[in-house]
Amino acid sequence: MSSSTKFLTLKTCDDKKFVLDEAIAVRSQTIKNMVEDDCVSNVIPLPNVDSKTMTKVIEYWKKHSEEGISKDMLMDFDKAFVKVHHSILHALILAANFLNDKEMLDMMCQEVVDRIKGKTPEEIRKEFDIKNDFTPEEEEEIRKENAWAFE
Amino acid sequence: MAPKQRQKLTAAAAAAAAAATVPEPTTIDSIGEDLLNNILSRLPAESCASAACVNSSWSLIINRFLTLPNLSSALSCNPCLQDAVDDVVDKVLARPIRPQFVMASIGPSYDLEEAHYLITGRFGCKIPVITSISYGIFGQDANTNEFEEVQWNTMKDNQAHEDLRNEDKGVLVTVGFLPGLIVDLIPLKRARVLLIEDFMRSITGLSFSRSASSPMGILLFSNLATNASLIYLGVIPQYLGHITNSTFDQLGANIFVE
Repeated sequence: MSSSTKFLTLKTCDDKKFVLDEAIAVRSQTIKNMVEDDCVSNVIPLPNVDSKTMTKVIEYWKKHSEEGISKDMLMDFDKAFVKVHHSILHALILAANFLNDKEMLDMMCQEVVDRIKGKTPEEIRKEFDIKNDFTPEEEEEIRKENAWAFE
Repeated sequence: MAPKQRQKLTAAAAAAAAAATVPEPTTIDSIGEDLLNNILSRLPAESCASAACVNSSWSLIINRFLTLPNLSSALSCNPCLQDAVDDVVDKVLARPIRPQFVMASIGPSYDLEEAHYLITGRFGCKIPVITSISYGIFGQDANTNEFEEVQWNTMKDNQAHEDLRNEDKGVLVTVGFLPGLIVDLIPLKRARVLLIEDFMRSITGLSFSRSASSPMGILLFSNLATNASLIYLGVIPQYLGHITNSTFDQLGANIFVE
């Protein structure tokens, strides 16, 4: 089987190249479509993904393509995988979206959901370093609309 | 400008241009509106209300889906009233919704006042809650998502069977948001006869005061002692859609829909 393994070369926006087993790379629907449409010559450019983020994506793809890996082991891996700084998480979400890997995108979005859940507006702003851009009147109005949740 | 300084400036501009082509997504808003919408629409209702107050872009995205018509309903047959209420309320609030009214039907084995108190406690005092005892409750189970019916005690001698301890026990809660809906409590007064015309005048008056139009439909709750058919036959048929619900006992407000 190994003799028939096809490799793809992916080039990130910072000109780093990644050589990857095609069977793993096609976890990305975007890459899969390119392969199926036969528009892959030798290097696939990924203009929206940097090498740092791609390294993480490939780490995820390889783990999820491992043969005989148990569900529990994958769950532990996923749990540790999403525990990254916000900026990395956001880059991974953009990458998963561009590469069109729905499973990975779902997992990363769910992690953001979990970071928002159960927090007050002030706590959310602090967590994500978001500026409150409401005027006092706007804020009062929007608070009133959502007051049922704060009682 | 000295040539050296100009060179420095150009280098800075080049660095800025390079940074612009590879944007470092440091803030959450940098992932764009579509992905932010994907995330915010997965929040439970209470966290979503919190998130709507964070900043104007979050508020805009959340308001877009919170102002759509929405109805969420769940049933629990848990024999412990407190657990049953917690199960169904958690379920109906598991997805974003801005509760405008709450309708609850409970099995006759529960205490109506206690059930009403528990449900109202979860939604706060500003959201109208109607709790009624109902014979015949059918809905989607909060935990299994299967359609279930509350078991009814059909035995006359009231001899409780151990395997039927869930009899007559169930809570169905429906939470909704309907743009343009008005919810209020209007007393139906009685002189020698029921003052139905007064009652209807109050309803249309309220409707006009809020939206300058007559109601599109009316959803009415009354207790058994009220002769609902009088209202039904006498006044309401002039409106397009209406549901009259006569329950054995009922706490809360009359609802009418425009």
